[in-house]
Amino acid sequence: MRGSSLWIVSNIAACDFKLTWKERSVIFWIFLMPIAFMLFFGVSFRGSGGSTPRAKLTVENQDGGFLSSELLEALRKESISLVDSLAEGENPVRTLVIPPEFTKKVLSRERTTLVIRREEGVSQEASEAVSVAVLRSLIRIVSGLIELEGEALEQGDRRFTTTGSTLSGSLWELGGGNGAFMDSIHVELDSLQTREPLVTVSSTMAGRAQELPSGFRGSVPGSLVMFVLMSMVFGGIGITQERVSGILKRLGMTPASRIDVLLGKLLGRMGVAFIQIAVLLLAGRFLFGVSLGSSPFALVALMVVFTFCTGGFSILFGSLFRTPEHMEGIAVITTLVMAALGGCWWPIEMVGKPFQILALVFPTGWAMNGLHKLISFGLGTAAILPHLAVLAAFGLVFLLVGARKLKWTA
Amino acid sequence: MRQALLIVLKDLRRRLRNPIAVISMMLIPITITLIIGLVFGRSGEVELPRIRVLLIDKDDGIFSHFLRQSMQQEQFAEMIELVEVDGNEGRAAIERGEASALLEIPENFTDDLLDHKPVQLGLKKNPAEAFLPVIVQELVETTALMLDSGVRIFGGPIEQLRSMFEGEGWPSRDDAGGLLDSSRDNMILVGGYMADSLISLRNEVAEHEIEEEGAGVGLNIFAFVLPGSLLIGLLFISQIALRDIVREKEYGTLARLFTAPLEAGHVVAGKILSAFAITGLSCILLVLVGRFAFGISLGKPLPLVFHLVATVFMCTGVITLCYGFIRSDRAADAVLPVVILTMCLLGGSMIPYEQMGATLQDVGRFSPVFWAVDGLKMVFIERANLSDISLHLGILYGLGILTVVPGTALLRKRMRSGG
Repeated sequence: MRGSSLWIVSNIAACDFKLTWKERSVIFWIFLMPIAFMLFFGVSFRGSGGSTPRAKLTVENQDGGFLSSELLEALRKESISLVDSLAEGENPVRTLVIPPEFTKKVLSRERTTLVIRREEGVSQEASEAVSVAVLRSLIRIVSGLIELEGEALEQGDRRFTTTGSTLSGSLWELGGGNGAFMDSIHVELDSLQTREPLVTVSSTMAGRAQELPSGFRGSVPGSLVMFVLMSMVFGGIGITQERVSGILKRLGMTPASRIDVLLGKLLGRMGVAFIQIAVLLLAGRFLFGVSLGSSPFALVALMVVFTFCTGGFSILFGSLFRTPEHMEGIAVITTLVMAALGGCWWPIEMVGKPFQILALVFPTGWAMNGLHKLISFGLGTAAILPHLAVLAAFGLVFLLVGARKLKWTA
Repeated sequence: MRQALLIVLKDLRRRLRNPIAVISMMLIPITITLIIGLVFGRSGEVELPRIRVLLIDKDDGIFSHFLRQSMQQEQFAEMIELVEVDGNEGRAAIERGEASALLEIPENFTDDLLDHKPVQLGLKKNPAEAFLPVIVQELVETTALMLDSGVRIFGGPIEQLRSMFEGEGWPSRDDAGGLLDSSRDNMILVGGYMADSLISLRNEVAEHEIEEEGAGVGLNIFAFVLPGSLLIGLLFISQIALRDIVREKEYGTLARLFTAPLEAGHVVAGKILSAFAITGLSCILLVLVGRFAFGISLGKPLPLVFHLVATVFMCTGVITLCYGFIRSDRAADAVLPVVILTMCLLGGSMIPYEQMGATLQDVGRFSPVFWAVDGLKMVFIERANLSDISLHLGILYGLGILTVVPGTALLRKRMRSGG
């Protein structure tokens, strides 16, 4: 056994693995920074996507009639937060301005405009949610009002009637300023609003998971993929350092073949990446409550192939430079580009089709897509077979090109 | 002083001979800004791709056609790609993540609605997508609400219409006339809201004072992103520039320097000044790239210059203080990136400050990076005056002094003791 290829490979791998953990900074980069990113991005994007954001809306009611109260009642049923009072010095983020005489104008069928005023720089997504909520509340109020107007027209009172295709008069004129009449309309409108809806929408998720990948469900896979790649790319700098310091040359003088050394380096890096992934997944599960899907085997398979792929990339990266100086900046840029375009920074469906296709040029894109299949859809191994194949192919190409380009002496 | 300046000149010459480390750090902000600009477009308004929605229509009646047509109206047609599929094919496709959502219209949807029986549409969402399925859900729920209202308002005439066609032979003229009469009033009532827009909804952004014509018009996303990424680059460049302090000790260069009549204070001052100069030059180059490559309007010259100087001073100061406590290159490599990235994370370099939650925003104001990024955005985007950014400038210059002075003292003490 001693002296055999397997023994040499495992020795080199174990040595590289141990040396990595000797650097204290590794703990920061491999574990603490990714967890900090998961936390920070998860908290910042907690309200986005899946759960409709509880957008804040302050109401400036200049009306005082019953229709504005009905509108506010309808708004309370929507997924937004109506702000009742502002703290001293606090500015409203979004304000719905209900104009003076809103009730009278609507009942008189005169034109009126509601305004949603938002502060510059506030979340566009939350503002859209507010617009939709106000629109839906208006539809509810107006449809109830039309039903009441229809009933009033049937009474044939000449203060509110139709001639041909022309409508003359209005509910307001029909009431003639009579408080009791307005109260009765208010009560009837109220009762119309409490009816059970005829058409409802039952919304479920495909796959087995029941939540959309926003907040931590988005930040955990994204940070994991980005920081594993970053560790491996920086691991590539180690190979260049070993070449410059002559360690690779010395290894070359031992009975270890080139392949033994490369495989040892690869396995050592894969071991580090795998520990990193395990810790980050556990942190995702137990610190941030992210589901890891329903197929542990598939998840492990995907992560093993991803570590192989990034390990191969590490060797390729280490083979591309003559000296380790200046590689750090390039390593950061390489990681940022691959992570951003691969979909680690933002949900990939938000970007245009060309960028969605471009994502699949990078292993990060395949890793993210595979993680979504497992974590978001809750699917099993069969669903990620193409991902496993592509990532393995990436890894093999990186390794072969890296092995070919790697110089053993400085 | 002369000795310090000579050290600055020597360091600048060294950097010019071998600028790759600094250039690679300068490429970080350029790359981040470029990627975000390319992906989200110059205006920064996210143009979502067409949302693919699968439709299984088991009803094929008037109301399912209404739903379909509502989702293919002019304004939605550009946004939604509605693809009709059969049951099994559709369910398999959504399970494979081939669409953002699957809408299922149940059997007897129209008949049940005409009988005023509650009906339920099924919407299955793609769990791998965070935004698009939510948009589809909002759209379907709003359409369902409109249908609900329509059925209640036009329930009578629609029922009449159905019984007319259920009878034998063609409807009589009287039947048709009665139908028109009964629906006419409701059509007129609805028409007031639909065609005459009796109630309209206007969205507006709160007005802010804009002193100069054209200012603030058309947000350039690069102007929004560059300040944050610039700070990441500048802090790392300061780190590279000040790294010599520990490296020269490790390489023995300092010991050789001190064989000459040179004081520790001169060396420290020279190193800090050269770091300031290198960071400042990089900052100027990055801002010029922002101006000419990304078309960023740089705002008013005086506030820009004052703010950039304050930013570079703060960056150099913070890193100087850090090196005051760090004794080796390895320790610097371990600690400084963590310090820099934490300050940048909290200060709004990686996520816009406005996007961060309230708690993170409160914490973020303690990061020096926040004051640099926020001030720079005000200069670029709002064409702020000196008075507008006076608080930012005060904090940045104050931080610069509060970090440079103790940092210099610590380094000088260490150099004197040979530690």
